[in-house]
Amino acid sequence: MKKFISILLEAILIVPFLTSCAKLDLTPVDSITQDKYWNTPDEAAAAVVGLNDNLQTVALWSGVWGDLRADIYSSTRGNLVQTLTDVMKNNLTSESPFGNWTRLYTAIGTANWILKNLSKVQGLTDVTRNQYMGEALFARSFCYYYAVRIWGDVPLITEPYTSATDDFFQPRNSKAEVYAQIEKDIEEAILKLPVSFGSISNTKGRPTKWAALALKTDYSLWMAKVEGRAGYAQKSLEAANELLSKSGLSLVSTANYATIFSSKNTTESIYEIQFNNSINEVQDNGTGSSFSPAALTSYDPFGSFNRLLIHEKLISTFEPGDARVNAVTLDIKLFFSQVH
Amino acid sequence: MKVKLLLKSSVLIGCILPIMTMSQDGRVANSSTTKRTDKSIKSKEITHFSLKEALIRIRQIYKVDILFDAETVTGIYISSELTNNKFSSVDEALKKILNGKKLSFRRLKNDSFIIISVNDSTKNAAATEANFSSVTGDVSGFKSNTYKFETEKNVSNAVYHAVPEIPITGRVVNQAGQPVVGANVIVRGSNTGTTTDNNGRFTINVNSEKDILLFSYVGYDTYETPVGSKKDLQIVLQSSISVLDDVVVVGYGTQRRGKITSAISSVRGKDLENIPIASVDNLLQGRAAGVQVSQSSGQPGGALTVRIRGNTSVQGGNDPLFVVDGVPIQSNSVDRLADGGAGSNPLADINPSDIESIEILKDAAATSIYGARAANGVVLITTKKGKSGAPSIKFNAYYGTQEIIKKLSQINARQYREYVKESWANSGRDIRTGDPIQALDSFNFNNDYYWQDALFQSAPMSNYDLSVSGGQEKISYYLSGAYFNQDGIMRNSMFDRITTRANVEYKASDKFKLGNTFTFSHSTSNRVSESNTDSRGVLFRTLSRMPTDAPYDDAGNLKPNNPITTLLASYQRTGSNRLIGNVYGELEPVKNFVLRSSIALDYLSFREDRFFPSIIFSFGGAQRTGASQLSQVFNWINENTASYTRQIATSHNFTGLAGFSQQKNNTELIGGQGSRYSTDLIPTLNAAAQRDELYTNKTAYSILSYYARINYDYDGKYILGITGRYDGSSRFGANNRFGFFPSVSIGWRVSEEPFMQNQELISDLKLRASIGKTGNQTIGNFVSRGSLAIGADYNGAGGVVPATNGLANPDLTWESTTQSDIGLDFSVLKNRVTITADVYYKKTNDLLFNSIIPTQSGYGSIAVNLGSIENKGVEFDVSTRNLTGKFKWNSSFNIGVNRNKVLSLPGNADIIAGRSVLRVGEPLGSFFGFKQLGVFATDAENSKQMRFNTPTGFIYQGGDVRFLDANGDNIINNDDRVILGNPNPDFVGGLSNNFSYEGFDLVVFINFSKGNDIFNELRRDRDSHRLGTGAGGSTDILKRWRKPGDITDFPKVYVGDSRQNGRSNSSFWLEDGSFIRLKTVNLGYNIPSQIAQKAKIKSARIYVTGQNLLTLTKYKGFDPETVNNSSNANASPLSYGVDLGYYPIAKSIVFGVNLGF
Repeated sequence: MKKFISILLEAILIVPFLTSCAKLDLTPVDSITQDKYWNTPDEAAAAVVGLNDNLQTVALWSGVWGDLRADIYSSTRGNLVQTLTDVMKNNLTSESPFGNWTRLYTAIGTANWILKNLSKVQGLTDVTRNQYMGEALFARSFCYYYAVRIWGDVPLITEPYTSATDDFFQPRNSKAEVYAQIEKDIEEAILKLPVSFGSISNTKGRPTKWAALALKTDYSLWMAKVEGRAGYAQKSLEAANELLSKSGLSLVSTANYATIFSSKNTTESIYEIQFNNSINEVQDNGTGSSFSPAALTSYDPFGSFNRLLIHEKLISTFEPGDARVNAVTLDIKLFFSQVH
Repeated sequence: MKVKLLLKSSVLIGCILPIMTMSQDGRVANSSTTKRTDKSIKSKEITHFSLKEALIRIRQIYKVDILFDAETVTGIYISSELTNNKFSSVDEALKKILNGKKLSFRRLKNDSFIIISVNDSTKNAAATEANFSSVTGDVSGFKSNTYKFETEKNVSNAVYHAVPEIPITGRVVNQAGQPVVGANVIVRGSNTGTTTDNNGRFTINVNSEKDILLFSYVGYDTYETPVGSKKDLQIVLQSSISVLDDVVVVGYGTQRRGKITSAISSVRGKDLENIPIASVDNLLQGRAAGVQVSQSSGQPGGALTVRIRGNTSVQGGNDPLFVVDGVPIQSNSVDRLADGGAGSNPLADINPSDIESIEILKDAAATSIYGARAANGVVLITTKKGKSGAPSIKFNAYYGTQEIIKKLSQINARQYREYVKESWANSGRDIRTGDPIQALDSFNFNNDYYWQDALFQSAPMSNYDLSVSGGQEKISYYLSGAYFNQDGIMRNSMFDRITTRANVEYKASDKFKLGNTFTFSHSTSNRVSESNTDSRGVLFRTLSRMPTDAPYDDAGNLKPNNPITTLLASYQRTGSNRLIGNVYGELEPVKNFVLRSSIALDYLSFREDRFFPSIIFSFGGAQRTGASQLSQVFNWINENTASYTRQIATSHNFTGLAGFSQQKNNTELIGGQGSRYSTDLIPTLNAAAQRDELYTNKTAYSILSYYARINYDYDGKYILGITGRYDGSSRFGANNRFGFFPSVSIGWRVSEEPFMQNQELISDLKLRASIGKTGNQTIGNFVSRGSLAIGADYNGAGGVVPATNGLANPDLTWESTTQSDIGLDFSVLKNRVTITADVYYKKTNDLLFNSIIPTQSGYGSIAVNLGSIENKGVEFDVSTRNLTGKFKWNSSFNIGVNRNKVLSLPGNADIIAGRSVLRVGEPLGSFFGFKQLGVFATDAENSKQMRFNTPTGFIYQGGDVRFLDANGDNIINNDDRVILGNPNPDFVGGLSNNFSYEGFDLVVFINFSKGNDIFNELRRDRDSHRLGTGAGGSTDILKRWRKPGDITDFPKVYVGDSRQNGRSNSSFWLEDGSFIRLKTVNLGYNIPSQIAQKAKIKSARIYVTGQNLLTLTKYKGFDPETVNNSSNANASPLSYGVDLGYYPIAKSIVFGVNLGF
């Protein structure tokens, strides 16, 4: 008994005092911290995949920022949520979720983070390193291009934040500075990006040289037409010509026009942000319920109140007999007669 | 020198017995006869009897003479358990207590015994026998005892005191009619006394009929009565309520109430018995001042919110630390698959019948020993332990039913038709082809269905628990098993639980003991979706259904896509296995120096399965979806303490404690979600054709702590307590990982001063004050480290991006709360009125905030320590014994007033979340939005031409709501939002009245809350016409504005509320949530023991308990308690006091029995 007690005492009284079992410096198992990252090529690859993932959220709102404000939609069946109505009617306030640039700057932040840290990674080939840099530069210019068109002057941030004590209140930069950065990033991206990836979904879904040229075409047109800058119309034309002549892309036939929306990665597609790796996009990316051509999806009329319908005025601008109209629009009267 | 001692048993008993009774219970009797003597013995904890005391007791009980040598028995102690055993004879008793003591005994005559040493038995025996006839009393043994009796100096004379003449017999019983064994019977003003035998009977000789007899026993009020002419007395002792000498559980130990200098509320287990509820936190409601308990959801097995002295944190959590038998346990819900609601309650794993007492530590002096986890208070739960004596078997059972407290109104089909037609007409909507009214006519307007009837049911609940407790010399035990079963008042919901407990202590030697507390429980439940956003939210959706529709088709089958179908067809199971165990060893190498070490485990395994069969969905074919998750929380904790008690001179009392503790928590999840199940018949994931999500998570935290406490008092009058804890947590940044949490408290027991001795009014008065610091460490485990977000994927590849809160903050540390408290403990009229009052001020600094940062940084927020909050308040606890005679009436009342205010915020800018705002100078969770002043009766009434939202917005017309234009710009937009209300109550409290008469007892318990506003989102959802076709709302809709000139507060109706008259942050939906509730009524009858004993039952009680029988409130929802009170992780105090249509609370009536064997 005595022995038993002494052993027990030793076990429960003395041992814990000598060795503390609970260490305070724990390492997370199911997550990773920033200071442990940027060592291997795999980590660099994952970061670039993450950046492309960021661009998905930008794409989801591109319709709201662009098409929705462009008088091409009529009212809707059911009730469009108020926040979307506000955008459609240009009643934006500071409370509007869509008046928020978080999604753009999240992707810009990831791009900056990649550009800053790529040099730390050992074992990357130059080709791969260029590709990653090109993707990051493309993404950054893509996002700033949206930002400057929507907000005008915006803060131009090209270095990643690293500490909780950094100054987060950087003032806006002038549009000119932002345009200069966009232009610089696009030009560099065109040089660094590959012409294709290993798979069709990546060739269409990740930025290629063609995507960057298309961005340059659009950007230059904007600069020429909206900003009235001389010489940009020509730049736009040159970029478009290079894209059309070298990329090998071709238009989809009029008969198959609807497949641009209903399937994905057609021959006509230059750059198409991918949502679901296995199924058709309109079923899965959330824009389907609002923006995708109504004719292409079946949905519950009572369940979905967000649907936007293309304005009859827009439809009437198509020449009679244009096969594209019926492919992507829905006869509203016919639609409701089916519902009831 | 060998002096022998022999005393007549009837002499001196008065002075001996109080020692006995005190020793048995380890505490001091607090009767008026012994009051003056408390002081000298209370500092000395007696856990063992001296042999001498035991022999004297045997002498009294068996009415025999026992002769012994004072020197031979000195210094020999026996365990107190022994003396409680019943022995069949004197011989047996002596054998037992002398066993192993190198002593034996011999019988001299029929009723005379002599104790002899084994070594020289022959010699001694001869010597004693020779001297037997010439013994003189030697009372030195009694003198050396610390106990003093007024007549002590006369004791030696008393030996030969004349024998009184009139023999009186009688029986002493308690209120339940059971004999009180060993009760003290004394003739006032004399030395004559005796004690009751095993049947509570006594015989005592008095001098005259005018003599007064005093009856006392620890735990009972002293009773006095003149002898009178009766020769056989029946005495009923009433149990005493004095709390001053109660032992109160504190962090890492116990203290006497009288010496406590901190704010601690105690709830005794017996006040909580026979109440038909599942979990311990529910029992605390209204029981202690300053403790607000709200049942956010009536879901069987659902979680509650417990707030002690207000909310101290915005994002760091406000739940107190729960400690069960010294083990800090997981008390927060681990649900992932619950559809809204309050989540499951890990505290429901503890069987309420096993609880001996609950202590609520409120001020810093009480809580700082728990350091970094104590800022929200600490709840100490102590479970029952075995007491020495024969096994006591208790069986309790109840069975009853529960009902919904009230149902809400609903417009009928005719009213609905008018309402919908009107709203369509008002809106001028013609988007449907043809006449919309005609389209609406396709609905069955003749049907008139009251949906709530399909929701609720009368539901049975039952509980059975059996416990056995007892102990012998070396071992004591409490074992129990229980089964609790509750069906929900919403159909297809239930909770059942089976629990076992084994608390055992073993005294290996005089210096070493070891023991354990251990409970295992298994519970299952079927839940109801409580979501307010998802189409599956049952209550929310049911209440907005059209009366023209019905959940069943003509053939009586459930129709798809309606909430009743969701309720009945969904499968939402949980299964919980919980083990809380603690093994400890205690070594006392030197007297009063105790080393204690324990290892405790808290293991929770929580499984959730969810499946929605195809009938729940109206479209898309077999859209069956399901999910499963298994969560495991494993906590181990090792505590090591050393404590020392020392008395210097006679007046300086020290108690010291120092300890070291380490704890590690591992939390692991594995789960998955699937869809496109092959069949409705299999709810498990293996039937899912598509696996949508699979995940495992592992996370951990650890805590290392060092703590110490010193208590000092001078003569019980001046009391000082100092406590400190040095805590380290893995959750915090490397630069700030350890924090120090000290406290100091002082007390002055005024009633012990000499100048207070000559008055009868005040029986106890203590002033106390404390100040100290505590912490709150409730943030994510690795928030300070700067994490990357995993799980981004693109084109089938996995990606990594910086998490939105992924900037590291190595300076991150605890929220620290500094609290000061001034208190008063006050008893008057022989403790018939006991008052505890406290005033406190609590300031919390370094609030843990996910501070929003400009998103152009690429990040959304950073974890920082910024901002501060204060809570200040007053608390009163009053207990009275109004009637103490045959008809007995006790009351206890408590009230807590707390005022909460935000003192500073990051950047001191408002933080607005929906209808709540966090604003400097306002309470946490203040409601914020548009104040509705009325409804424009006519277009002309909008004389200022106020517009909607923008300078070009529409002009408000008759029937539109007139909102307060706070900035006077004639445009109603977000700039016009103002503070609308406060979800924090002005005060909460409870009132309990306990009555007893003969065998009957009645408890009437009321709790109340005043001044808390509730945002009735459930009503808004029904009545704000925001659903396209108009919802079947409440009859309030009938008050709507219909034509110019109508004076009403209910606006004109438009489809989809297109004019935002019923906006979600309008004061129209804000209501007063004050209530007063008849919480518990318990009426019991103790079957007379004579009858019970015939059935071989020691005691039997039958009772009926009603719960939530009556609620007085103006609140229009189901219940003012079922509001979101941030008991789940998703809600913060930023958004609480909102009625999100959670599961309503039931009222219940149960019938039960308590049997003792």
